[in-house]
Amino acid sequence: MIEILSSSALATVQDQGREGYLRYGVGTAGAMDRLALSVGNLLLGNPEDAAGIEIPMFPFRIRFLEDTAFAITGADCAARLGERSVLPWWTAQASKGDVLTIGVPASGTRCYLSLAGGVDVPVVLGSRSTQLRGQFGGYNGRQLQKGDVVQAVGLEQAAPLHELAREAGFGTVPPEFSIPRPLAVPEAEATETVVRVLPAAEYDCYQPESLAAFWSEGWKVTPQSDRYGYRLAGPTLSAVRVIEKRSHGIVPGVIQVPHNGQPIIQLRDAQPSGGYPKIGTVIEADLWRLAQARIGTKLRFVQTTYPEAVAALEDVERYLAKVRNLVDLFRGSRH
Amino acid sequence: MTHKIEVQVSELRQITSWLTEVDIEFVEISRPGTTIRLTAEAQQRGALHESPLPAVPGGGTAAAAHVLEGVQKQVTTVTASSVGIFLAAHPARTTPFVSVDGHVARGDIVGLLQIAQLCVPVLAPIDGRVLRVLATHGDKVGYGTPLFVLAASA
Repeated sequence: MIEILSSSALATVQDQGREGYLRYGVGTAGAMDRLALSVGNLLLGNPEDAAGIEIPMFPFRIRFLEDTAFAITGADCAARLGERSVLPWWTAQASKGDVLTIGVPASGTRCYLSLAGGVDVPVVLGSRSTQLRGQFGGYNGRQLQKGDVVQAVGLEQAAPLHELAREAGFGTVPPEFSIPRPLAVPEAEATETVVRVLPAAEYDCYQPESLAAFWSEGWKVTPQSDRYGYRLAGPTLSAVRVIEKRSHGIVPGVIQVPHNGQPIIQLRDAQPSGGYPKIGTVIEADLWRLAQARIGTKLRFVQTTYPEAVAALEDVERYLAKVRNLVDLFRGSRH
Repeated sequence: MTHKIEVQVSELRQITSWLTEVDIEFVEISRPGTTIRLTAEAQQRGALHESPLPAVPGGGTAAAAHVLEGVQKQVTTVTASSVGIFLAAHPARTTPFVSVDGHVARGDIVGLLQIAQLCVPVLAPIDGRVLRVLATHGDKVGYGTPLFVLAASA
């Protein structure tokens, strides 16, 4: 059980998302960086579908109202539990009354706070994720506010033998150091986020110069970017003819091009349908990279194929499987 | 314990010969109430090595300490309690956890052992000052490899 001490923090309860309801007009919601949430759950030995708290605004402060194991993953934040600093991608034990302060990230944008057993909110349509558009799911269908008390499901954990180890915790190597970054041509700068993209239905409707720019230029993440989608700024993408389309189903990751020629990437809280032409789709395996791209930085798109996109997802799953095995071994060795 | 341990002496011989071949000093397997330790004699191993390190007290931390009584002050060597890669700083950071002459409190993280994708902390067992940092960032270390020398604060 924790109490939120930060006001208007825009933090939400999220799990891996609400799958299977797009056809009814219900968006997926769910964590923007699902990989980070997965690792947080693995560190704690939580079920895969456990919910955590997605934090996009800093500093974020909570008070533990009981002894609870927690994990922080995602953006590299300067975090403190009382006086003690907590490393990124780390799990530790909090005692009743401890205050956890998650500071402004040095890199990345979203931090995930996981609690032992997962955040305990009702499952609505198969998920604990906050559906902001529909105002249901998560914590009363809204963002967390100062004074909210959030319950953890709780979990019987193997108590580490050593008192010091229990306090200090352990962590994982962040995935950006384990899963190779896709290669952009021309080479991407260190500050650019590189994601792989599958050409989408209207890809062939764009001018050859526009398509060349799409793959070779950096696309700035504008301040109008959030869980709904990222509006990008860069060279104008021009179609060879006017494209008029009826509204049709879209999924997180779809890159649309409105009439102004500046692309929008639809994300977890996007409407499940739209009528803008689609130039591409960011592959599922790279959505976690997108989730951590900062406003003002640039994105680079790398063309990929369906088999490569499937292989990339397998890379992510292999990383998670490794972490799962290692955590089991590490916890097991302390029994 | 109802669990029956079935080990052939010939298997133990095989394991010790493997240890000798690859120059590993000892293997220790611990379970509640049971510790099995196979130590290869120093003369069997390469002549380059010092005598095996003294046994360290059991514990769940990545680092265990053994205390050597110095001439003037109490000096503690922090050793690795697992095979891994020693990290002086977190993979995402550049500033090392500690540097020579820096002060540490008992339970402070002074380094990390990277074991594949895991990061396990090396903890200061006492309040004190860092006298020496014996391992370099990125070093492969074994069980018992000395990592730091700390001087206990008076």
